[in-house]
Amino acid sequence: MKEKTLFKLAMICLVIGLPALYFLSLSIEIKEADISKITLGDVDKQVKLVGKVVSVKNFEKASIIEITQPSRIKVIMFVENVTLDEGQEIEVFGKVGEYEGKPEIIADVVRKKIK
Amino acid sequence: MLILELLIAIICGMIAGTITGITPGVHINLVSIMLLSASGYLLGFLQPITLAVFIITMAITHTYLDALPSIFLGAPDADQVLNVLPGHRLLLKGQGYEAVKLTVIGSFLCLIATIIAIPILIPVTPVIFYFVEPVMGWILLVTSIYMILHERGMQKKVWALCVYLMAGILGIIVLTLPNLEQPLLPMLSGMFGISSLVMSLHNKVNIPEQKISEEISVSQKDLSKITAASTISGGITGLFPGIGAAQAGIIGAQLVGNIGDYGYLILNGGINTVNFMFSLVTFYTLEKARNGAVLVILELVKKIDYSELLIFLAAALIVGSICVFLTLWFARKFSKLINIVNYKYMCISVIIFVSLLVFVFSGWKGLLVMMISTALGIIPVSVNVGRNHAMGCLLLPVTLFFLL
Repeated sequence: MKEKTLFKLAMICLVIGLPALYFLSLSIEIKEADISKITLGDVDKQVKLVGKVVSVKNFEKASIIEITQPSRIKVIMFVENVTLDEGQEIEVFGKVGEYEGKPEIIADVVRKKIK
Repeated sequence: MLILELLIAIICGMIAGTITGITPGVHINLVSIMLLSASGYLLGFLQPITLAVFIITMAITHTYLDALPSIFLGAPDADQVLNVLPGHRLLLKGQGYEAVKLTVIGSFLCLIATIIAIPILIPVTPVIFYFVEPVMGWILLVTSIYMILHERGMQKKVWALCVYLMAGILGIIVLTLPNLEQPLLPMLSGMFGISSLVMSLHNKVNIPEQKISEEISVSQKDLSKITAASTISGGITGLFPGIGAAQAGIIGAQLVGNIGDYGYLILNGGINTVNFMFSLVTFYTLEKARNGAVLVILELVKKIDYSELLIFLAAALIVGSICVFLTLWFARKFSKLINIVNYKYMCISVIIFVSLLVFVFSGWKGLLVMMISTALGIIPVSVNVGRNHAMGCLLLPVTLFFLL
C-alpha cells in the first residue's frame, strides 16, 4: 500500500470519526433534570441533577443525601461517611429508583459543582 | 460539555500512549493502574467515560508506537516479541522505516476491519467463546506441534522441541515464582530483546544508512489475507485470558502460511490493535476484562451500553487515524537518529536501560530471570531454528492452564 493511499484513508477515517464522536457524545450526554418532573415512570432512567444539600445521613454501607432545587429528592450512595456541608451545591449522576412509592436516585457519581 | 472532555482525553491518551509506546519496558497497564488510583480525585470533575476514553486512546496509540523500540532498538514489549526478528532484518537492509510502515498498515487496516465487523462480532462473540473455550488448550497444543514439525530436517525439529520445552519450563517457573513482580518483563525482554542486542554486538552488526523509501509492496490479495488472519487471531486473544498478541501471532502465521517478513510485520501490527479492540467487544458482550487496561475501565464504568461502545469505537478510529501520521513521523526521526548514533553504544545503552527497568520492577530475581532468558534466547539463533519456539515460555503454561 502506498504511503499516499494510507494517508488518504487515515484522513477519511478522521473526517468520519470526529463528527461521529460529537453526535454520539450528544446522545449520551445527560441533560440536567428538574426534580419536580421526575416521576415513577422514569424508574431505571439515567439522570443528572444539580441541587443543594439539605441533609446527609450516614449508615453502615450507605448514605442518604437529601437535595433540593427547590423540589426535594433523596439520593442514595453506597459509600460510608459521606461528608458534605448543608447548602453545598452538588452534581449527581445516577439512576432513578423507587422506594415506598416515591422516586429516589441511586447515585453512581456525586461531585461538588464547579462554578 | 462532554465532547470537550472526550477530545482532551483523546489528546492526553495519545501523549501517554506515545510515552509508553516508545519507552521499552513501560506498559499501559502501569499507567492505567495509576489512573485508577487517582480516579477518586479525577471523578470529582470528569465523567467515568472520559477516563475510559483516555485509557482506550492510550492503548491504541501504544499498539502503533511500540513497533519503534522493537524494530529500531531491538527492545520489544510482550506484544512485539515476534516482530523483533523480521523488523531487525529489515533494519539491517536499511529499511527500518518501511518495517514500521508495515506494522502501521497492519494496525490501521485491522482497526477498520474490526470496527466494520462489530455488528457481526457482538452477537457472535458469546457463541464463539462458548464453543472455543473448551478446546482452546488443544488449539494451542496443535499450533505448537505444527510449528515444531514445520522445521526442516530431524535435527532442527529436535532443537525446536528442546527450545520450546526449555522455554516452557522457564515460563512455568517464572510465572509461578513467588515475590517476582512483573514476571513477563525480564523473561520476554531477555529472551527476545536483550538476546537480539547481544547477538548484534557479538556479530559486530553495523546498521546501514536508513532510507525513507517506498520500495516494499505487498499485493492486495496478500494484504486482504493477512488482515483477515490478524483479525481472527487477534480476536482470539481478545476473547481468552492469558493469550497475548505474541501467541496470536503464532496462530495467525499458521493461518496464512509463508508470508515472509513483510507479511509478518503487517500481521503482528494488526494483531496488537485487534487484540485491544476485541477486548472492548468482550467487555461489552461478556462483561469480562481480558487485559489490565480493560480491567481498569471495568472498575471505572462497571458496564457499558451500545452508545458508549460506539463512543469508544469512534475514539479508536480517530486515534488510529492520527497515529498513522504520528508513528511514521517518529519512524522518520528514529531512522535519522539511528544513522547518527553509534549502534554499538546504543545497544549497550538499551541493555543497561532495560536491565535497570527490570531491577526497578522485578528486583534481583528479575535480573536473574533476564540473564537466563537471554541465554535461552540466543540458542535458537545459534542452532538456526526459528526464535518463535521460544514463545513456549508463554504457550506451554497457557496450554497447560487450559488442558489441566
